[in-house]
Formats: sequence, C-alpha cells, structure tokens
Amino acid sequence: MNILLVEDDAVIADAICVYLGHSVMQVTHAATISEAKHYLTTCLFDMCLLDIALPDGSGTSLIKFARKRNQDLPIILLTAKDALDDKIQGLNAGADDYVTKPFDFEELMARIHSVYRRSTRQLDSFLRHGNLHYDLANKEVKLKDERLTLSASELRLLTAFLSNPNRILSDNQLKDYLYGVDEDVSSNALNVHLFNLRKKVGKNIIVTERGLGFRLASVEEQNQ
Amino acid sequence: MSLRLKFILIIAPVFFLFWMVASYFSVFQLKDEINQAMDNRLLSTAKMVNNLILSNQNTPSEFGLEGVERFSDTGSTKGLACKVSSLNGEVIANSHPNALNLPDSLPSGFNTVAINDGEWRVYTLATKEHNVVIAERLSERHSIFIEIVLVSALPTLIAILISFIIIWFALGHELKPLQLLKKAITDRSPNDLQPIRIAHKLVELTPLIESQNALFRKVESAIEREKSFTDNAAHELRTPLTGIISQLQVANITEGNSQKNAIKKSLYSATRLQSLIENLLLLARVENESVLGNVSAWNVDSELDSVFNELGIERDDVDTQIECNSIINCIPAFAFGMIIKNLLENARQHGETGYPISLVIQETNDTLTIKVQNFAQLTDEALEKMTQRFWRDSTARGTGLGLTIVEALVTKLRGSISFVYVRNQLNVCLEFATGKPSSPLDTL
Repeated sequence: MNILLVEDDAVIADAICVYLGHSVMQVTHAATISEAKHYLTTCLFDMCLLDIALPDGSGTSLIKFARKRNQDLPIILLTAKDALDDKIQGLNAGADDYVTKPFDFEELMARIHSVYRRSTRQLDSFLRHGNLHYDLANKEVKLKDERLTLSASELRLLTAFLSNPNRILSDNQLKDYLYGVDEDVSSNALNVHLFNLRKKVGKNIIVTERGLGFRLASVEEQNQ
Repeated sequence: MSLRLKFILIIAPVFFLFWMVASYFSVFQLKDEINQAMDNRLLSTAKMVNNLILSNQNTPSEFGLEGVERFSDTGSTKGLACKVSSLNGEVIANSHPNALNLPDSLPSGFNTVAINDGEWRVYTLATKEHNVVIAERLSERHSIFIEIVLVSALPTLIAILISFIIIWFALGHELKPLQLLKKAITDRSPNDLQPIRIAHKLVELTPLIESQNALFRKVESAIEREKSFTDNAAHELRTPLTGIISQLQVANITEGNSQKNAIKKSLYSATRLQSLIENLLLLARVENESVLGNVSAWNVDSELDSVFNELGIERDDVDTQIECNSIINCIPAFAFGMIIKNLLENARQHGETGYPISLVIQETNDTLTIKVQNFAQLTDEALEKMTQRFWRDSTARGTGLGLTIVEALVTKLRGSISFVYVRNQLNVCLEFATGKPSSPLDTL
C-alpha cells in the first residue's frame, strides 16, 4: 500500500514511516500542505494519513484539494485535537476516519485496513485475483491454497497491482510503491523485483504494456 | 417577595397614613362643626321657648306646661330637655319632670354639667321674667358624630381599596418588562450566551439589559479564550507525547540501530514535553503574584552566569553590555533570570543562525532597560502574534510560550515591552522603573 503521510512533527512522522514500512507499506512523508499537494499531483497513493494542524494551514484544505483530484483517495485524519468540533469539521470536509494522538499503531493499522477495505469495496482484509489470495493483515499470500514466501518489496508490488486491477501502472508509480517518492531508484531494480514476483506468483499475472508500464492480467488472460 | 408586592407594601402604609392624618384633621373639624351646630340648636331652641312663653304670658298654665308635655318625650331622657323657671325658682315648665332635674343656678350661656350618670350640654337663657334651660345629652352628640364619621368613612375606605387594586394591576403592567427579563434569564440554559432581546419602553431597563448582554459577551469571550487555550495546550502536550509513544512502539518492533534511533527520538520528545510542561507551569507561576512578591537586591553578573549555564552557552556567544550597578533591586532575580533566559532562547531558536545576538542591560536614574537584538526573517503576522500563547512561525521550533512568559512577567512588574523590527533586526526592549522596588500588579 502506498501511503502519503502529511505530518509536520518529524519525530511522529519518522515513527509512522518506520512502523508502516515494517508492515510492508510504502510511506511518503510531506511536512507541509504545499509539499503534499505536489506529491498528490505527481504520484499515485492508496491512502493519505493527514495531520490537521500544519504549518502552512489546515489539513482540511488538503482534503478538498485531494477530493478534486482523486475522489477515491481514502483519507485518515491524525491529529492531537480531540474536540468534537474538530472531528466533525474534518469528517465533513471529506475525511474517511479520524485517529486521535497519541495513538496505538495497532489501532492505526486496523483503521488503515478498514478504510482501505471500504474504499476498495472489500468485505474483509483480503485482496483476491483468480487463485491468488493476499491477506493484508497477516501479510500472507496464497496461490491455489499454497502459501508463498514473498519479500517486502514483492509484497509491495503485489499490493500495487491487486489494489489497481484495471489500471496500467508506470515505472515511476511502481517505484513509488516500492521505495517511496523521494528515493531515486534505477529501473533495473524494479525489473528485478518484477521478475522475482512473476517467478513466484506466475509469469502471466503481470502484463507488460510497452511504453506505458505494467498491469494486472485479467483472470481470462492468466488462463490462456 | 415579588417587586410588585414589595411596592404595594411600601405604598399601602404610606397611602394609608396620609389618609389617616387627613381624616384625623377632617374628623376633628367635623366634630367642632357638629358641636357648634348642636350648640346653635340649643340656643335657637331656648329662644324659641322664650318667645313662646312671652307670647302666651297671660295664660302660662294653659299653654306652657301642658304644651311642652304634649310634644316632649317624657318617658326618657333622650333628645332635648327643657325647663322654664321663674326668677324665684318656681318651675314653670319642665320637659322631664320625673326623670331629669335640670339645675337652676347655672350662669347664662353654654355649660357642660353632669346630671345623674351622664354629661349634658346646657344652654341657659336668663330673661327679666324667667330662666329657660335647654339641655342635651353629650352621648347623643357623640353617637351622631360617630354615625356621620362611619357614613362618610365607608366610601373613602372603598375608594382606598379600589385604589390599591388599580395600583396592583398598573404595577403589574408596568413591571412586565422586568418579568420578561427575569424569565429570559431564568429560562436560559447555562451554555446559552446569546444576548437578551426584550421589547420594552422602560428607560431604566435598557442599561440593565445592555450591561447584562455585555457580561454575556465577556463570558463568551472568556470561554472562547479558555477553550482555545485548552485546545492548544492539549495539542501541544499530545504532540511530544505521541512522539514518545510512537517511537517506543517502533523500538519495540525493531532491533539494532533502528531501535537505538527510536529510543533516542523518544527521549528527544520526552525532553520537549518536559520543556513544554515547565513553561506552562512557569506561566502559571508568573500569574501567581506571590512568586514575584519579595524583591531583594541581587547581583546581575551572577544571575547572568546562571542563565548562560542553564542555556549551555558561553558569555562570549552573546555580545553582552552591562551598563548598570552590579546590584539591582527593582525587579526580582527570579523574574530577571526568566526574562533573559526566554529572550535569549527565543533569539537562538527563531533568529538567523550565524548572526550575533546582543544583550544590553542599562540603568539610568529611574529606568532599568533590557535589550535583546538578533537577526531574523519575520513577517507582519509573526510580529503581531509574537506573544500569543502557543503561536509559532510555520518553520519555528519551541513551545510557543517564551515571549508569552516574558510579556506576562513584564506586565506583572509594571514594566513595558516593545518589539522593533528594522532591516531584518529584531529589537526586544524591556523597561522597568527603578525609583522603588516594583510590586506586582494585583492582576495580569
């Protein structure tokens, strides 16, 4: 899952990045609204964790901006303000959920999965595609009921494809999923991870669209 | 007790007293008039009897006694009594020959005498031939007087009663705006701070409603300030607390350098939290005047040394000029230390790095001046909100309380603070009167 974290406190942002990274999520950190707007206009994210009180304005303005650009981007507010008015204002602005600081990471993870399920209209925390099952909560991948061992990078790539089943993902978007926005990674590294993933889950599952990027093959295409 | 009832209880006795006093004089006047009228009646009656006797001089036996007996109430002593006697004492005629013995030897004119068991008003008309005595029982006069008083007092009492009823309703009508005001205040919920709006024409009520509404506005503003302070304090306290908790959770799932880094960042947040709590407590102490109450002489150099030690900087790091006596007694050492510490901390945290910070302490005959100057990039908003609690520049660190504490201390010590920003240089200038040791203000 590729997450945009908008948080001005460096210590909290660092903890979230490390913890979510440990849970096979790719987190891109923005400390200000203007920085976050830049990321939203250039990159693809599955979710946004947003602090309300930011140095250059209120996080609610970013919600409105994000809604204009991508109606489906799930947004969870992270804030130290716990007044009812703040929660109502944030949710009315278009946020999907609200987590009050200080929070427990297990609760944050549960909320991330819950909001993500709602946004992808899933009933549980599984991503499914044909015979492939991915248990997001336990980071467990099964192909025809056989458990596969995937590295963190491979899991990130698989999440990117399963979360965007009908989209072509460019090299850069896949790199964002793998390493975050700020990392400058060579295409060769991406190809290595793609090769390894194809080897483990089946070479037909990922289709190369020349000059455009990669996409998840439909079930029919896989069976051909 | 309602205002209306109270008004009535005040008006009623006064009203009643005035009526009683007026009635008292009226009744006395009436009594005199009645007595005079009754006396005139006695006089007229005596003259009339005398004329009758004179006109029948030759036949007194045929008319006098028999005539009087015929028209008098001979069986009782009510009404008028009449006795005609000759100059030698022979009774010519007597209206009550058996029941009443009117005296013969009274001087001419009006007299009040006691006959039998009662007082009588007697008029004696003495002529050359006879004496005519006309008498009337005083108790009868009194009965007549009482009857007249009662007959005339009843309408008055009814009028007074009706007046009270009219006043009661009129007061109720005129005091209706007060009732509406009472209802508007008692019916509102404790959280309702909307202004009172009542349609009325009472000039006296307008300032009361306006002052009440002004009070509501003040309370609302105070609540808003408190809420804002609480929200900001909660936000400021939770942020480092979240840093501690989240980094400890990270430390719990990581190992090696990652774990060490997490613990280090957790400690950093703990220090930040400690600093914030200390500043909040300091602000609370500053607002408590007893902290600043006792001003004793102290040495400026030793206080500066301890401040520099606390901040962990060398004296040479700050361009310091001291142009005053080494002993200062116009402000407490505690306040001086806090002011210098916060001003220098503010200059270091929010000023441009690599530029000098200067500190000047001057004392003239009547003023102690503290100036801190540093280079900084400041916006108009920053200059305006510099002393606002928890306000920080978007890129700034710190708790947002340093200059708030300085301003609170200066206000407490009846000093002045000014900020001048010219050519990227911020000058913070504090002045205190040295004529006598400053005493803290009663309130901030």
